[in-house]
Amino acid sequence: MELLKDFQALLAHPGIWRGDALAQEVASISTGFAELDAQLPGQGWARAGLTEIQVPREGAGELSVLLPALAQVSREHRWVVCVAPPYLPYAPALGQAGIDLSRYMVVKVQSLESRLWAIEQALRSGACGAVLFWSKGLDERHLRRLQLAAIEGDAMGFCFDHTPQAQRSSPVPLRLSLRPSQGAQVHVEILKRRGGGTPVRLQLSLPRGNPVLSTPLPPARGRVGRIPAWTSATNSSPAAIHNTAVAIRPSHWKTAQASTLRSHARG
Amino acid sequence: MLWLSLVFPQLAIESLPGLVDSPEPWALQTRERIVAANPAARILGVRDGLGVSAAQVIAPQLRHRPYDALLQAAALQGLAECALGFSAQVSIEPPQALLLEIGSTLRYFGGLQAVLDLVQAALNARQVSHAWAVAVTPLAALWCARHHSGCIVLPDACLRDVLGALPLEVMHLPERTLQALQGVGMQTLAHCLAMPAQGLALRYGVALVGLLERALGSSPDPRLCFFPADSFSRSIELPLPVSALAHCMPSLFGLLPDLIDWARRHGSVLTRLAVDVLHERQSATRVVVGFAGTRRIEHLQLVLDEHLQRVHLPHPVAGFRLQVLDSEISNIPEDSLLPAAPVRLREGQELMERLRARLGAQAVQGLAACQDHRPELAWCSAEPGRPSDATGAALASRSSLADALHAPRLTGLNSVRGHAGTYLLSNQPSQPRPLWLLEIPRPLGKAAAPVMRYPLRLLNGPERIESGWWDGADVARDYFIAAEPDGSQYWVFRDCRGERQWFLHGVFA
Repeated sequence: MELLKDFQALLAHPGIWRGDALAQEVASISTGFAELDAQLPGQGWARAGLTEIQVPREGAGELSVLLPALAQVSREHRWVVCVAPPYLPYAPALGQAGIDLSRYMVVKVQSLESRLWAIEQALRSGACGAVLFWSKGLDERHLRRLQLAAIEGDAMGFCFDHTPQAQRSSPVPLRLSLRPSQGAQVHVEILKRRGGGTPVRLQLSLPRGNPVLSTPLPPARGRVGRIPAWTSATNSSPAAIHNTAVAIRPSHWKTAQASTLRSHARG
Repeated sequence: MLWLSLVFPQLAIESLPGLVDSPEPWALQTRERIVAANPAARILGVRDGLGVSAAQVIAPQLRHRPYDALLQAAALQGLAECALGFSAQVSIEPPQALLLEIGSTLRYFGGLQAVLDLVQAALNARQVSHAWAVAVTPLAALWCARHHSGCIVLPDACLRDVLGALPLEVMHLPERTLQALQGVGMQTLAHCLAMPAQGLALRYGVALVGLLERALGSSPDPRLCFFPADSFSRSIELPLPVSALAHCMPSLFGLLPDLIDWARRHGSVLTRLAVDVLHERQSATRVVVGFAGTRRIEHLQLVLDEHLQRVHLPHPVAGFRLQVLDSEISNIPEDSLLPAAPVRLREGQELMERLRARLGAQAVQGLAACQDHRPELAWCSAEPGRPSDATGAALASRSSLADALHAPRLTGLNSVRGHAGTYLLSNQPSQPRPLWLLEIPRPLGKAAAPVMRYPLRLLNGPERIESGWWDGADVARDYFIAAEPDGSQYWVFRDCRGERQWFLHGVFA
């Protein structure tokens, strides 16, 4: 018993680092998902450093997972910079997520060299809270350099990776793998984190609203036709809301009304 | 009143970069007379006032170029602007001296020695050789400085004795007057001061007596105050044309301290600069560089460097001219107690300028949401960092388009917008929107359900968006959220017209 007590006291020594304990003393920003926070060193994304997010392709929920943190960053008047995005970042959706658009910057670059330069400048500047970029063409050396830049500039760098090999070595301290799942959910697997531990699998619900499939709308003005029944409709209900926005030309008001009526009659 | 005079004996040479440190002997000549020479030439024995041919005999390797009085005047003006940092009353004494009234600023700086230290530090930073003196009248200070540097004549000292010890040459009299005075055996000012004023005026002119009286303080000596120019334009000439721009950037950067001084004195920040790269006998290449408002020298250097690297120069560089095209009143506090927000803003602006300098202005964009139901028009690019008033701007631009198209219906349209704008168009769509939008919707077939790799399952919808008959981009679409078998979600629409095709328009990432 004595020995065990001594051993416990020894383990409580702050200089001793245990493999199964997560590194706690990192300045971090909450991910917005309690389950994920609990598994990350410092209970959130580290404020300085890179995070690698592996996704099979765009559309696995990789941005939605980041949105709460990005919103937080932009509220702190720090910049969110998106370097060479694969598609247009859509402003209304970013606004819906609470991101201050005046703190959002999109950088379009072609060559790998200028892309690296832009990412590094953004990470190093000290003005950016988060920098989003894609790993295509980047190797280990580049990532190491970017990691140093992120620490110097106190910025979060999120690197999206579409290459399938999870075992590829990488100097990035935090690596996640994301897979989409049914019903606006996403599977998260933590492949690597500071403080180690076994790989953890999580399932997060993305805040995307409940799916509502309403009955088909009448066809557009000027054309009368039938809309086929939706074979795949799962939860259509007669009480579902018609989300309609129609702007009608004042001078054609009557004809438009008439055509709508006619279509209803036929339908 | 206490006057500090600063005399710059080497200003003509020092206003040309590279000549002072050059190992080759260089001299400036005007009308075949040497007026200034660099240290290398002086070692060989070249003196001011020597004929050019005589100088060539003494130093055969001597190179010379014409003396440019305008250049020297500009350099002196730059020094005067710098001197305004130490005194509110600075007057220029051409061709190479400044007079600063420092009696009123002693208390602010903490004593005479402190002012002198600061002034010397500023001049040393500019690498200007100078002589100085302090006296109660401007002329006395000037003459003392011309004779030997470091002389301080305080109000309680006897000015007459101090001036008496000076040689006549310090007065810079006209050649004829000086010769006449020396002709009767006068060597120092004491000889002049001993003469009765009336006789002196009769023989050598009233000007001489006036000069002595003003130096002694017995008659007033009003001075013209120097005011800094409202515009900034400074140029620098290279000793030899250089074809590699990178090699002459330090000369250009040498102009930046003056520029920053100018901006600080005006309480303004720089928004647009023009750099004229000068060529010999060719018109200059102009590069205009925009800033969001800065006066940080490191940032100016970075951005100018990036911009100039991209410029193709048809001829070798002979010099630079730096001009301020636009500046704004600064809202940057010099030393703020709460630096967080404004500093972030400034760093963000600087980052943006650096990126734009290298990648082009179009490569860096901000985003704004616009009030339009059509997804492709519900966003627009904006200037990053400006709180977006894009909705207003978009409506305004659209209204002008509508005016052009439907001029007679103007009033009707306005009223529609006036009413509809408030309750139909809300700031954010009520339905979920995807984080990625495809610039051009990708067709997904005409089947009952959209097909990507697999048929998509429709989860949410339809959301009818039918709008835009007034500007030619008329759309009528039913939007759905659709899912792949693995669960990833997409934003698809079915065109309500034509072949009722499915399109992919967004990705819920």
